[in-house]
Amino acid sequence: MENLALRENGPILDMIIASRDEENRVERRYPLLFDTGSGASAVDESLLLDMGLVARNYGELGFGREKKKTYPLYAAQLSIADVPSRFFRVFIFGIPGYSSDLYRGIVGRDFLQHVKFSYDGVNGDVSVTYPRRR
Amino acid sequence: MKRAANGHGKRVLREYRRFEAALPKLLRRYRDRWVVFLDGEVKADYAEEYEAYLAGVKKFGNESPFVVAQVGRPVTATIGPALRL
Repeated sequence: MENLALRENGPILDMIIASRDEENRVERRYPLLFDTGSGASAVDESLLLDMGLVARNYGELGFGREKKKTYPLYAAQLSIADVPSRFFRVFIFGIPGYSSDLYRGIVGRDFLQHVKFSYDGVNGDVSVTYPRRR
Repeated sequence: MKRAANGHGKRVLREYRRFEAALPKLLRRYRDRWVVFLDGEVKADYAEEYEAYLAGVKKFGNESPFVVAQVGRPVTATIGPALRL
């Protein structure tokens, strides 16, 4: 079915960000942009702090050709919402104020390396399949 | 550097800076290993990131500012300018 919002705004999907703590698991649902041009996932840091996640590392992140800066990396899990899916462990960059009206961050190749993802811009359709577990 | 003003993040950043300073020495023994780094030293090392993360949380607690990092493989990425600060 044609999805006008997906066609106009790009592949924005509701994603689940989850803590790694299984006993006191925290999950939040946010719209994130799938971006195959991004080597890492990044979201507004306030979302991660609200979930009680903590930074465990730091990394260098650049926007396009801009000089890279140091940002915190949060240990988390990421999954696609509303479909039978799997969580994948990732380190997500937390960037203060990194949000738009449409989405709260981006999903990069650290997650996309685990799935087969195709975007039909003509019909505004996204398909994601999970390879069989090895 | 822009980052949220949270106390834990600052403590982790301090520990990360100590990790960076120690890297020349760490490379000789821990290259490519995932380490739990705290108080300016490696507390444990593992082959997998998740092992290191779990061990750090179990031994030091979630509030501890320990760093989980792979020695000699800093996280560096370029992301699309779709969202800019």
